[in-house]
Amino acid sequence: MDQNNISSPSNLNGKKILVVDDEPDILTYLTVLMENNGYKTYQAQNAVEALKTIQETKPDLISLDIMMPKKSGIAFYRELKLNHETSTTPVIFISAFSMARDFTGPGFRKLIPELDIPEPDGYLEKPVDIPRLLELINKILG
Amino acid sequence: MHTTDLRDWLHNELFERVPSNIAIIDREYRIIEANQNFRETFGEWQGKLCHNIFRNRCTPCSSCKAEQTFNDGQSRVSEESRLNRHGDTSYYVVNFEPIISQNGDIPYIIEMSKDVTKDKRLQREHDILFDRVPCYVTVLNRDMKIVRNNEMFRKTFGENPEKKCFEMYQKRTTPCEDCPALKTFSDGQIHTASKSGVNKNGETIFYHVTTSSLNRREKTPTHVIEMSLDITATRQLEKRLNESFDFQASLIKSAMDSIIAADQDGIITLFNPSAEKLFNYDAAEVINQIKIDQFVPPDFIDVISQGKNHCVLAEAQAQNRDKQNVPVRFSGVVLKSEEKHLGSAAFFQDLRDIKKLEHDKLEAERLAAVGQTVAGLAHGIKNVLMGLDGGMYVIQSGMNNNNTELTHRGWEMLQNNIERISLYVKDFLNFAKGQQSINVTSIDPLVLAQDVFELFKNVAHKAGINLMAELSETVTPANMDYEGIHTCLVNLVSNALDACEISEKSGGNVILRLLDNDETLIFEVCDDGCGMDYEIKKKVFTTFFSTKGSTKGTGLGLLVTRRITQEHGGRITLESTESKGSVFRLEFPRKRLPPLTEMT
Repeated sequence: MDQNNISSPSNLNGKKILVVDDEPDILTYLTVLMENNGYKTYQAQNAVEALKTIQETKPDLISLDIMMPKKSGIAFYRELKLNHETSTTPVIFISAFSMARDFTGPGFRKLIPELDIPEPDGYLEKPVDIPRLLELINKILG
Repeated sequence: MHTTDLRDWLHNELFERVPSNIAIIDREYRIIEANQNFRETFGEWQGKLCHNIFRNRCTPCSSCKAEQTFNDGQSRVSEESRLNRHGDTSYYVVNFEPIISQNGDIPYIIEMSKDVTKDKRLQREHDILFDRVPCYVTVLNRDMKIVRNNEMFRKTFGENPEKKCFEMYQKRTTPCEDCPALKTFSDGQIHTASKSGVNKNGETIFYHVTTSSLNRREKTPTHVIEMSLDITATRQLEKRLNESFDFQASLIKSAMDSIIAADQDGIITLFNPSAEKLFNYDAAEVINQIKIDQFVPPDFIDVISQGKNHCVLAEAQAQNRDKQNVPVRFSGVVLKSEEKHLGSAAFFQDLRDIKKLEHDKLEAERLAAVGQTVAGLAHGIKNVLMGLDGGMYVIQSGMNNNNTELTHRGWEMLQNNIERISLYVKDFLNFAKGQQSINVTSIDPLVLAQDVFELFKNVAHKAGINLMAELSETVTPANMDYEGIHTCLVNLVSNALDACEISEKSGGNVILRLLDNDETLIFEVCDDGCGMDYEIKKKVFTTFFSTKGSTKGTGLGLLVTRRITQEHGGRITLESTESKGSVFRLEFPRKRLPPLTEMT
């Protein structure tokens, strides 16, 4: 068995994950990885597509890139959290930014000043460490 | 001559010959006898009354001296004004003598008058002169006591009769050193001196004093006249002038600016220490030796020859002794006083330090840009690494599951990301290469903008985007690196077209503008494409990223554009509204544009 498939597909009851990234290669990589680990996946290349898919499929988790055309992941995250239909859906950021400084604590409040919007459920830096990603997903959905 | 003859002569002739006007009047004031002089002065007298002839009156005068002498028999002397035979008023000293008969009656009075009109006038002139002359005038006796003084003296030193000269003028108890009055008392000659004293208010007074003897012949005069001209105001003016001169001289001496002044023939008369330093000449080598033309920019000479008075050059070159050009800010003036040409003055501000600071600042900005670029590069490389990781993972996944399609997709991912690495390397080398130098020539910004417009016209048309040019026709040439600015505009127009392409709206408009506002040259690229939200705007110039997806670009374009713009002393600004579009503006203040690259 591949070292990156740490959980058996049968345990996961087909939880749904939406992957949002403007780069098709990244979309392919993440969806293949997640499907190999027993999740059902959906793809979106920008915020508009993502919102449509969320409404149609009600995913259990959203993986979100930050730098995307039309609307950044940050702005989209803010919208999701302000919308009561989507505000409870867990979100993890996957981005090439070094996020520890910008996406937690005071740095995060500079990007999103509203105190009732929580910090995301997780953030990982590209290139992602697969075991950490799967562990994080497992923790959130488990 | 016998005694009897003398008596006869006296009786017969003296009356006619004395140099006085003599008349005899009786108690009715009738003139009964008069001499030749009287007739010549007052005219015919026979049968006239004295008040008829002297005053042209019909009745006796109110305080008639003759009447008084008739009454009391006393002799009198009186000064009277009388009309002469021409009707003019003259002044006379008149003696009234009673002629007393043997029985003691006074039947007649003899009156003798002498014309003192001239003496009176002289006296008056002297009095006015003495009191009103703008000098202090005092007369001293041999004890140095002031026996007479004039009005101006009293006003200034007060009225203190019987005081000595040195007590009044100098508030001292002994004569001053070198006293000119004492000298005059000892030799009778005129002496002068410059002195200072104290007036009645305790203020210091400066004066020039001249002393001269009042006795014409004696070698040891009894009285000396002192005349002192007050020069306090002149001294104060002189002092103020000196102070003001010293003040200006020290200003000029300690000025940071180099200052050179010349007379009306252009010969240098002033060369301050800053100028010595700037031009590497000693003032002594230059003053009265060299013409100012050698140091000032030719533009100033032109301006003067056109009759103008003032010339300011924000940037000019000053050539020093070693024929080196020093960048300076120059200001020159033609000096005039009431339209009279006095000469010219030139001011130079050494710009070397400022230029160095500017250069250091640009260098610091460049280094910061390099740092940001490296950080941005890491961002891009991370994406590529993840793509490569993904490619390998997907290939393995396809092979594990015997899924050929997935294996192919994995290969494709590897290829994409390897290609992106080449793209990064190429762009980054380009970025690094451009760092070295820019080739500045005098270019026509209009031609450049038209060039870029032509380059994209067809591309835009094929993509269904309306590309427009709004270019000012009156723009003048500017010192720029043609290739560099061309690259900037290509980047901005290409970004704008991409923004329209990825916009949800169909079509789209892009405008390339060229403006020349208040000495600033502006290129503007506007699009109504996708625009950018806050986070992207924040990162757009500092981070190396692309919103265009994996195949469209590396994100270096805007960094390169910013760098080139800064190298031209300009700045880049962005206004962008999400889903409405963006305006990128390159602003180049003309006075900050780089100098022409020297041809080697």
